[in-house]
Amino acid sequence: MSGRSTPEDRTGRRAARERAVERGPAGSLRELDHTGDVGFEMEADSLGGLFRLAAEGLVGTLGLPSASGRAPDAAETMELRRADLERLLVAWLRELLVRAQVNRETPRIGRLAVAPEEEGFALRASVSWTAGEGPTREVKAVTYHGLRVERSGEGWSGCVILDV
Amino acid sequence: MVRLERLDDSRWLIPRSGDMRTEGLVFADDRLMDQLRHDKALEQVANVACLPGIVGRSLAMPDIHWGYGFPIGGVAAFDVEDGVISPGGVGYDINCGVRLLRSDLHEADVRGRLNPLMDQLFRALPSGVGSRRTDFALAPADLKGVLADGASWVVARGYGWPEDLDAIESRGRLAGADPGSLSERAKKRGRNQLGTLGSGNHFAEVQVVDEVYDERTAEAFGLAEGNIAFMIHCGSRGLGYQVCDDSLETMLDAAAKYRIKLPDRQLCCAPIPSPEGRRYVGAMNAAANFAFGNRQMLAHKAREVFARVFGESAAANMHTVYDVCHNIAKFEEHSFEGERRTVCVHRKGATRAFPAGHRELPPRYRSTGQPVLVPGDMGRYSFVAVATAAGFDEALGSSCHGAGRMMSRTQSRKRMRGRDIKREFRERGIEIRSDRARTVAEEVPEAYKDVEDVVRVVASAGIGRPVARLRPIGVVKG
Repeated sequence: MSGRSTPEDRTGRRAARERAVERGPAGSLRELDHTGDVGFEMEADSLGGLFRLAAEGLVGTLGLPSASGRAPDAAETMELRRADLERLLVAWLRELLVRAQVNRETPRIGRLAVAPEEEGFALRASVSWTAGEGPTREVKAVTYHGLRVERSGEGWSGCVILDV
Repeated sequence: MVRLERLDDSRWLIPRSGDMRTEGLVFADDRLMDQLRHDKALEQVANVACLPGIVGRSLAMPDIHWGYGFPIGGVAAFDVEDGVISPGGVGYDINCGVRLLRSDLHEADVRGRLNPLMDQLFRALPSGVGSRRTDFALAPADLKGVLADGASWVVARGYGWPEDLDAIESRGRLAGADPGSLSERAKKRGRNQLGTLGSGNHFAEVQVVDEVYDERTAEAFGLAEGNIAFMIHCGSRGLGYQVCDDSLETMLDAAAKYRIKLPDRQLCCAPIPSPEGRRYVGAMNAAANFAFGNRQMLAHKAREVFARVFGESAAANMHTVYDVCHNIAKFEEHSFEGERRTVCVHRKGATRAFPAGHRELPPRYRSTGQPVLVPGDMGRYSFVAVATAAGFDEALGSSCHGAGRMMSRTQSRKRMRGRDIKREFRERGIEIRSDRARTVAEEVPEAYKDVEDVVRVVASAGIGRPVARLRPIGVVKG
């Protein structure tokens, strides 16, 4: 991916800068009716909210057991950087997916911020992990097909399709 | 909206338009085409036609359905110098495929012991999400061996018979595998997944040869009406998914570097001779070898179960009919406008189908053509077909790979709500073993096209000839 930014990137970064401070998981999550796979659309008032909703969608699709009321077994700060928001969303969900499937852990997302940087965008999230039985449904991967992260009025919208 | 021109009863042309470099050709009849018009599969056929270096048409087999990047059922060839290789044209489950074992057991021999057979198969073939073996894990050197040598590594360790290798596409080993190109994460995911089925539409089925359409070919394949067969559908598990994931990151950068215009990011790709392209080929072949090894191990474990339930002599006759890949890119020779060329054929949800006389076929199939294994759904039937010369010429030596979904998983679950599917199947004489009611609800026959419709189009288009129909009586689902 070239480092050159498009006008859309620059608009996105400007908007993201304005919204780097998170205000909670307000928004909506809707499952898409994809013939072969599973997808969902998100709408949120901030980029961080959008990425949080996408994580909720993934956790729901995986059918992970709830971690509420249980002390986490591990906690970490995840930091990811990518050239654009769509690749950052895929990278974020992939990290959660692989950890959930390989280590059989349920993530709980704490603070989450997505902000523009010189070379693209960065995500910083505090994630706690609770060991358990792992997913009840296999998700092979987070795809780039139909992937979308874009401004929508005052907020953000996006779409992700999972290969199941 | 993609423009379509009906060529005949089983062919539709997508004429060139926009950035398409070639035409699309879809094998479908009116009924299958009606099911296709509601999603984006046809658009994906057109998208594939936009990729650089495509040779011949962008093809879609009759079981085409909406995928990501390539449609499922998509086939396309690319020039080895000017063309590209795309992980999206192979899929996440690299070398997902099907193996069929035959037997001399009859349905009557098995019916009375179907429950213990299925219970033992369910234990011996780990299935479900992230399924892993607890009886062994591969040490790093062993994993490297599987990645380099595929099924032959597994057979050499006593899991199966040397003759199995003769009945596996490419003898169960793709040359040029580069185990060193795999990430640590990919290797970790594969370490204890050799010999596991996985989840989703993967399965192991005890089947009965229900009807034979071509006695001579069926006999050559070792299939006789009323006999028991055993079918395995699975691939490279988490290792393959990770190889694809890792490669897509590289290919997105490569597409930008080589200024390749992508109609869909999932079609990201690199020129075949580029460092990125060569690296992917090495990693893909290693993952494909893992999948060959996986199905070899599963076949061995299944034979052990049959030996315990029906005796050693019954298992000793469970020869491999064939083992085919249906998610792969391979370098093959084909003719284009009278000229022989080596091309990289991407088959995503499509089966290689080489006809009688092809030099890559084992001697036992050189006069019949390659068996084409077409799994259906868990309630109706699967098919065995045979490759044809016409299919080699028109469909790049490819045929269909299954039924193809026509209902989303969500729709399927909603429709099945409140129904005891396992009990319904038991009343129809089919035993299902699965830990997950949800998977079973998503995999019901109603969610799939009737594979008989798909095979009918295969036959009418001449890209395969039906040999036998197989009816499930026992199903292991993840």
